[in-house]
Amino acid sequence: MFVVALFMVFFIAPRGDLRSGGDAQRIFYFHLSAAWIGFGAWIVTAVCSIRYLKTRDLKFDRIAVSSAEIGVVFLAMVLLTGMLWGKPTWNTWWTWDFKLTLSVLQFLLYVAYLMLRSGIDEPDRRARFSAVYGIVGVLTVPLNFLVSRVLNSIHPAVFGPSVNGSAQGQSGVAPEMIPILIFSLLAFSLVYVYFVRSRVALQERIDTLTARRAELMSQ
Amino acid sequence: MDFDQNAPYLYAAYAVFLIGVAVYLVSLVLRQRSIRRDEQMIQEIEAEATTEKSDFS
Repeated sequence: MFVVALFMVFFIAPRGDLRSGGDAQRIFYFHLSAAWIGFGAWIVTAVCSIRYLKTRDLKFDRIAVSSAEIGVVFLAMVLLTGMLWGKPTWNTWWTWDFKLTLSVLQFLLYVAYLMLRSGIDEPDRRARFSAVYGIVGVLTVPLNFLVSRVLNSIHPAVFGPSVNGSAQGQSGVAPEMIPILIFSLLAFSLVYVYFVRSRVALQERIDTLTARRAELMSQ
Repeated sequence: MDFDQNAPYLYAAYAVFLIGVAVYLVSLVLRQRSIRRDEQMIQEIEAEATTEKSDFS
C-alpha cells in the first residue's frame, strides 16, 4: 500500500500552483499522513497510560512505549519534510513560527519520554512515571492542531475553519486530491499498526529476558 | 510526466520517508537478533546452573 501510495503521489496527484510549492506541494500527502501518525501515536500512548494506571497491567505500558517510539520516527519525518516543503514555498528551511516551534517541542517531549524510561530500572516504577508523562504529553496534540487555526501562523491550516488568513503557501484540498490523501492515510496507518505489533512483541521478549536475568542474579 | 524546478524537494522528501521507514525496520530486526542472542546466553547459563546444582547434590 505504501508503494501504491507513492505511485499515486508521483503519477496521479495534481501538481500544486507555484504559491503552494509546485511539485513540492505533493510532499503534503505523506507529510500530513506522517503527522496523523505522530499525533495518533501520542493519543495511543496516553490512552494506554491511563489504562495502565487503572489496571497496573504492563501490557498497556508496552503498547504505550512502542507507540511513543514510532511517534518519534514519524514526527522526525514530519519536521524534515516540512522543511523540504518550506524552502521552495517560504524561501526558508525553518522559521520559529508557533506551529513549527510547537512541533519541535512535541518531538523533544517524545524523546524525553524515551529518555525518562531508560533512566528507571524498576519496571512498575518506570511504567507509573512514564504513564503520567504520557498523559501530560498528549496535551501538545490539540495545542498543535489549534495553533495554526487560532494564532497568526505561517503554516497553512488545510482542514477546518481558521482565523489565520495570512498563511503563506495556503492550500486547500481539491476534490481530486482527497482519494490520494485517504489512501496515504490508510497506508501510513497500516505501517503504524505493523510497527506497533512488532515493537510490542519485542518489548515482551525484553521484559521476559530482564526478569530471567534478575532471577539468575538473585540465585 | 514532467516535473517543475521544485521536483528535487519532492524526491528528497520521499527519500526521507523511505529511509525513515527502512531505518526503523532495520533497527527492529537488529534488536530482535540481539534479544535472541541474549536469550540463548541466558538459556546456557541456566542449563549450567542446573547441572552444577545436580552435581553438588
